[in-house]
Amino acid sequence: MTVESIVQIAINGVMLSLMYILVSLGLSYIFSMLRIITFAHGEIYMLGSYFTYIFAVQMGLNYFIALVLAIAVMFLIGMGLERVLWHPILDKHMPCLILSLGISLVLSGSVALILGEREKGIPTVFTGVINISGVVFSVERLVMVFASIVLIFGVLYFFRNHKLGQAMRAIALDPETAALQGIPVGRLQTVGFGIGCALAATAGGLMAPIFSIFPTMGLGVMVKAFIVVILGGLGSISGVIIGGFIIGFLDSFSLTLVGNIGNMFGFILFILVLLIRPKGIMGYEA
Amino acid sequence: MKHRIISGKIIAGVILLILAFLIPIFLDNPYYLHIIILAMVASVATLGVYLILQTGHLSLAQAVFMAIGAYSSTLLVVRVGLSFWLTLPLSGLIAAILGTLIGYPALKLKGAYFAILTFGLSEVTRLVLINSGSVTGGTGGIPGGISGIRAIPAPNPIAIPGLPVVEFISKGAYYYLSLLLLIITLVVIYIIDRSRKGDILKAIKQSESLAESVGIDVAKYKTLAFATACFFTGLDGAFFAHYIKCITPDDFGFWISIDYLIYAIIGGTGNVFGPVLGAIGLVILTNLSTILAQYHVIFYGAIIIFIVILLPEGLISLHPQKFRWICRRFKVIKVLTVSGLKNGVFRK
Amino acid sequence: MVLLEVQGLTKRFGGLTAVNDVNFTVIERDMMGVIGPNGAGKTTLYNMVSGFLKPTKGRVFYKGENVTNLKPHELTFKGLVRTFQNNNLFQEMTVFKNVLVAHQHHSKDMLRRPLFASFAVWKKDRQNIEQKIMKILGYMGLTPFKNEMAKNLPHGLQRALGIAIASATDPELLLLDEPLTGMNPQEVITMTGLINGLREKGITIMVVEHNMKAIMKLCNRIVVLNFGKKIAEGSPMEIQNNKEVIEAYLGAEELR
Repeated sequence: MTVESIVQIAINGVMLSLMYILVSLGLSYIFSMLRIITFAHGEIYMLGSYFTYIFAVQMGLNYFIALVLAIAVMFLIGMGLERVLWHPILDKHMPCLILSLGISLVLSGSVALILGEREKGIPTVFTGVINISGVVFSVERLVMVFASIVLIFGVLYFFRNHKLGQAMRAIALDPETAALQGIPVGRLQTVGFGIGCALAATAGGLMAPIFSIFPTMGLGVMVKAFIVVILGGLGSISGVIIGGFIIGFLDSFSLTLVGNIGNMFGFILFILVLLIRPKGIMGYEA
Repeated sequence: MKHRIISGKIIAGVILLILAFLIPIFLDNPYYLHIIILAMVASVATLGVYLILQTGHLSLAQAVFMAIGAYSSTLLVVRVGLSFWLTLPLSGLIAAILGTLIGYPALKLKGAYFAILTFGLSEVTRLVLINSGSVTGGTGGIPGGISGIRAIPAPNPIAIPGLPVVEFISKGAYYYLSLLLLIITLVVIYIIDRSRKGDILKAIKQSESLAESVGIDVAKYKTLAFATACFFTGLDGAFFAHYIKCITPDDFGFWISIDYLIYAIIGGTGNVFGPVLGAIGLVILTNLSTILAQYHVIFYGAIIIFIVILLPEGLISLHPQKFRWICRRFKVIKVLTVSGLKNGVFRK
Repeated sequence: MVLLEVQGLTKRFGGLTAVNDVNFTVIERDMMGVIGPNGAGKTTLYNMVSGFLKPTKGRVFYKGENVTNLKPHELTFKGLVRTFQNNNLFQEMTVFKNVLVAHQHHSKDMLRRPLFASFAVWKKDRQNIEQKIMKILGYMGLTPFKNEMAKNLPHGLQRALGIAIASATDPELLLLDEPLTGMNPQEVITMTGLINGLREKGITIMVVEHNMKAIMKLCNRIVVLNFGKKIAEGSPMEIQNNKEVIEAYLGAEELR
C-alpha cells in the first residue's frame, strides 16, 4: 500500500465522513425536535442532488448558485411536507414511520418518472489537482470538504448561539416547558424539519458533481445515516460527528480494498451496536 | 357479539373459498394461474409481516426468511436427497429457529430501530448469498451459476392409495398446494388473532410497559410471534423455490420485503384478511397492468400516504360510512393546508 | 412482616446520578409515601424496584427474596405491581378488556390453560372472570364505562382505570405512581378514599405523590428524596417538622 493510496483513502474517508455527518445531522435534528424517525431522508438527499443538477445543468446556472437554490428549495419543500403531512400525526409513532415510507416511495418514483431512471451527472466544477510533496489532492474534493466543514460549523453555531437555534434546542429538550415559555413549538418544529432536510440536500448538492445521480441513490445514504446516528447515539450531536467519521473511514477503507462488499462491514457494526449497546457511543436513549 | 349463527361474512368467506378451489378448473391460461400463485405466495409472506406488526414492530426482512426457507429446502433436496415433503416442514422449522435466534435480541428494540435492523439484515443476507456461490450454486451437483440455483426439482408426486396420483408438472397442482399453504397460514394466524394470545399481542402493541406490568412476558410473546411468522414464511419460501425452480439472491432482496410490508399496509392491518387482500390485489394488478407495473413505486407510495392520513386501517376497512368520513377529512386537510400556508409557516 | 427491602439502591446515567444509595423497608399493610421535588429520582426508584430498570448498585428484596434482577412480569407474579405516571393504558381496548387482560395474566396457572379449552369449562370460567372484573370496575367507579374505549375516558377515570388494571393482578404490594395528578379536589377525595380502601383489603401500598395534603393524610410512613438521596424517613408528623425537608421544598405552606 503506497503512501499515495493511503492518502487517497484518507481523503475519501474525510469526504464520506463529512457527507454522512451532514445527512445524519439532519436526521438527528429532526428526531430531536419532532421525535420522529423518517425513512424519507434519503430521498431528500437525492432531491438535493437532482435540484442541483436541474439548476446547474438544465438551467445552466453557476454551480454554487445552483447549490444554494437547491438547498433553499429543499428547505421549503421539507417544511411543506412536514406541515401538511406529518404535523397532524406527530404523536402517532407507527403511522409517522409508515408515512415516511410512503413519501419516500412517491419522491423516488416521481423523480424516476419525470427525469428518467438513467444516471445523471454534473460535470466537474473544480478541475485540477494540487500536488503537495508528491501526494495528489483533487481540488474538487478539497472544496467539498472545505464547504462541508464550514457548513457544519455554521449549523452548530446556529443552534448554540442564535436565538432561534436555542429555541429549537429547548423544544428538543422539553417541548412542554418550551411552549410554556412562549416558544411557538409547532412552527419551529416545521422550521427544524426544514433545516434537517436542507442539511441532507446540502450533502446531496455537494456530492452531485462527485457521485452519479440516479433516483434510488437515497437509499444507501439514508441507511448510512441511520448507522451513524445509532452508532453515535440518537440525540447526541457529538455522537453523530464521531459516528460519521468512524463509518466514513470504515467505508472508505473497505470499499477501496474489497469493493462493494465493503458495505457489509458497516452493517455488521451496526447490527452489533443495536444488539449490544443500542444507545450508541454518546447517546442517552436506548 | 354472538347473536347470529351464520353471519354474512361467513357466507362470503365460504363462497370465496369455493371460488378459489374452482379457479384452476375454469382458468386454463397458465400465465394467469402463475400470477395467482405468485399472489398467494406473497400473501403468506405478507401475513408474516402482519403477525409481526401485531406486536408493534415493522419487519423489513420477511424476504430473508423466504430465502432461508428456499435455500434450506433446495439444498436439503438436492444435496441430501430428502423428499420435498420432508424438507418443506424442515425449512419452516429452520426459518423459525433462526427467527427465534435473531428475533429475541432484535425485538428488544423499539419500532424504528427494529425496522432499520431488519433492513441491515436484508442487506447482509443479500451480500452473503451473492458471495457464497460454492454452497448455494456453482459446482457440487447443483446446476446454476454463482448467484443462483437453477433446475430445482419439483415436489415428488403424491401417491395416496385409492386416489389418483398428484404430479407436480402443470400449474394446477402447484396452485392447490399454494392455496393450501395460504389457507393453513390464514387459519392459524386468524385463530391466534382472536384468541387470548391475540389479546396479549394487542396489549403488547398498545403498551409494552403496561403489558409487562400486568404479568405478560413481553419478550417471550414477541419472539414467539416472530418465530411463527418466520415459520410460515419459511414454508412459503420452500414452496416458492420448488415452484419457480430457479432462485437468485435478488428474489429475496430488500425491495421484496418492502413489497410485503406495502401489501399489508394498503390491504389493511386491522385483521387477517387485509394483508391477504392487499397482497393478492396488488400482485395481480401490477402483473396485469403494464402501466401500473411501471409506475408502481409512486402508486404504492401515494396509496400509503392516503391510507396513513385518511384510512389507517387500510382498504379492508372501507365501507360506506367510512367513505363519507374520508370526504369530510379531505376537506379538513385542504383547509388546514391553506390556513397553514397563510398563517405562519414563514412568519417568525 | 417486611415486604420490601431496598438496600443501597443507586442508578447512574452516564454522568448523572439519579438515585444515590437509597435504603428503606416497607412493612406489610404500610402505606408508604415517597415524596420529593421534581427530579428527585422517585420514578427512577420505582423503575428499579419494579424491574423496569437495572440498578447500577444495590439490591431489592421482596419477602426476603432477592428480586433485584427480575423482570417486571416476574415481579407481578410474585405480587409486586406498579402503576404508571402518564396515562398508560391499552388505549384501543374497552375498559372491561383492559382489566380483563390484566386479570388473565397475573398468575402462572392461568397461562397453562390450553388454547382450546372445552367450551363448558370456558363458559363457567368466563362467568367467574366476568364477575371478578365487574367487581373491580365497580370498586373503582368504572362500571358505567365498561364498554367505553380507554382513550375516550376523561383524565380522572383514566387514572382510576390504571389502578383498576393493577389491582386486577391480585397484588400484595402496589406501587402507585402519582395517582392524584391532574385531578380536581372532588376527584382527589374520591381517589384517596379508594386507595385507603385498597389498603383495608390487605394490600400494602407505596405512593409517589406531589399532593402533600393527601400524602400526609394517607400514609403512615414517608420517605423523602432529594437529588436522588433519601433525606428523611418517618411519620407524617416527623416529616412535616423536618428542617431538611422543608428546605428542599422551599415552602413550608405545602407541607400543611
